[in-house]
Amino acid sequence: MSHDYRGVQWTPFKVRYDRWMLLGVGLYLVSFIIASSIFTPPNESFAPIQILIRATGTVAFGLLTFILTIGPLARLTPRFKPFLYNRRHLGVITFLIALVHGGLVLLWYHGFSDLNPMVSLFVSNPRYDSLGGFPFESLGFVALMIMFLMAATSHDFWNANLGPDLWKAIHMSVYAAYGLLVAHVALGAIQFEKDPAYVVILSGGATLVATLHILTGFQSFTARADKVTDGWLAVAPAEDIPDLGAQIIRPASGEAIAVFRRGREIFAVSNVCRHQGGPLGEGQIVDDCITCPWHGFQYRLEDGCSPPPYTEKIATYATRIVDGYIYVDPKPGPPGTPQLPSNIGESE
Amino acid sequence: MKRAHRKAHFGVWLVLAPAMVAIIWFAVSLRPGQPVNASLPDALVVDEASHVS
Repeated sequence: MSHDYRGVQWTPFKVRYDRWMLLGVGLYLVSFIIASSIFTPPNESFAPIQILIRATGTVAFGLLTFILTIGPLARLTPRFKPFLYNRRHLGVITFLIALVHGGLVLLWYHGFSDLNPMVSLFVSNPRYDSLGGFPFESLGFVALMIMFLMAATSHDFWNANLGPDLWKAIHMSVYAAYGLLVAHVALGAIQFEKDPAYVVILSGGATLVATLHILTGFQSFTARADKVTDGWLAVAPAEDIPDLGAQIIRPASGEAIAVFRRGREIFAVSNVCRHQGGPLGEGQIVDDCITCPWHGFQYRLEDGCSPPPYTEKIATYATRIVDGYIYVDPKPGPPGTPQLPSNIGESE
Repeated sequence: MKRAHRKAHFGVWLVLAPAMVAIIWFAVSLRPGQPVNASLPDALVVDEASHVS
């Protein structure tokens, strides 16, 4: 976790995941190039570099679309949690592919200009006042710069030194990058490519991402814990919480609380991971520790402390069970405060 | 996720989603029309002058 830094924290799972990811990207590129060579009408010939520009552009847009669906999909179904855990590597790969796409565009369309290619990118089409003829390449460039900033600060070193709040704010700019890319494709490829597949991919991808984010965002605001008895928040029947899993409750004020079950024991802790603010209640109990679904940071159930040698602490909450129903005291103890679990079957 | 981040996240998508829909709709409407098949006949035009009442 945070006591030292390594270039990349490889695990056997991450290595396997990255291999599959690279294999998938490679297969897509090869398939795209072969399909383009076969299906392009004889009167429309493209240079190999143009085909490569299309191939890298479509795969980068597709990967970014997939990355942005992982978070909400992992909330809707646990099947996507492995992708959540490895999202960072996917993001860096996406940036590198987008960088190749941008480099090829610069080389092919601006490399032979009398101007500096970077200058040519911004001034060769000066119609900044026209939406229809807008120089769409500049939108892609700004998106690429945002992705560069994110890839460059993706390491835990930056999270620790910038602080989780600033780091998160920087990384939320990926949504702006995605919006810019949608505009880049809409005003670019959609205008030039005859194949309606480009329209379908763009509108389908953007609709999917936006719908999932709005749906899960709306769900998180409506799932409020508004039933209060003697100052205690009502959570759920104890049997409803899956073993080694949790239920998240959101008090009217303050941060969300994750109520975990381990066998017959019930514990409640802050839902906010100390690393990057990940939703602990969407994680699981692994090796008797709450494990964050984002990057695997761990906390003990009994006191909210990370196991040695790590030093992170989260707030803990008192719990009680009345007639089989779990209640949580919404006033947290200081981070790291030991709490006795409530036991299912020992109702007050 | 912190409450503030969730709010910001939700707010961003409430703005971004309609903006993306608008730009895609605009871009599709700008798209050059599909090529027509020149071998198909034009619509039938009735020559009013040739009608005998």
